[in-house]
Amino acid sequence: MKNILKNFSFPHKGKILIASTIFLFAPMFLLQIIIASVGLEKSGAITRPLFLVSSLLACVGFIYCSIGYHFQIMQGDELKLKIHLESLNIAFTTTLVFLFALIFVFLNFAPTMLNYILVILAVIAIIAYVLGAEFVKEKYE
Amino acid sequence: MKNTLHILRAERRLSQDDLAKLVDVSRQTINAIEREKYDPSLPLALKMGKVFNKKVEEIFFLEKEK
Repeated sequence: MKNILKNFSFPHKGKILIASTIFLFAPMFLLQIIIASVGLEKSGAITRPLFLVSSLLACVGFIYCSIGYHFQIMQGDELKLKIHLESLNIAFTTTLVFLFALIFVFLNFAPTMLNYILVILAVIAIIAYVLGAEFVKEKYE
Repeated sequence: MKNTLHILRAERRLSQDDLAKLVDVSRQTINAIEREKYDPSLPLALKMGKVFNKKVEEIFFLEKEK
């Protein structure tokens, strides 16, 4: 298994990433069209499998890209790996700080927002990683 | 950690890009090492030793040792 993963280059990562993003967000736009054409009551039968299939494809695509980029960085340039690891460290710490802060704020002031905490944290983690990578890159330039 | 990489490279008339290709890293990595912003891994230091036909401690050394 380790050798298979080592030799497999995870091709077409960029295209799969774009396709996964489209699969993730497409139902939101298609929903309006489906409701408009068949009505709100009958739309459930169409939208449920549509959401299931598209989110499953997006999920598989994102997992493929995550593993692909992970192996690409691991086998690539060592400075880039160090920048990646330090950025991950910054992203993880930031997310953890925001997790506790948001739990406190949402529990006390907006309990319904707790439903969205994972989405908010995911966005925070991505932003922290990108900003962290820029900050770390400057250190080594 | 200090190093004599830029001197050795100049002696052999190698560009940062040439050296990067020889040791299988990016030019940015060579630049960061030369500017002493980044310490290379042991395998990379050994590869550089092999390229310049020198011991690792002749290329890389602690500041006090010089």
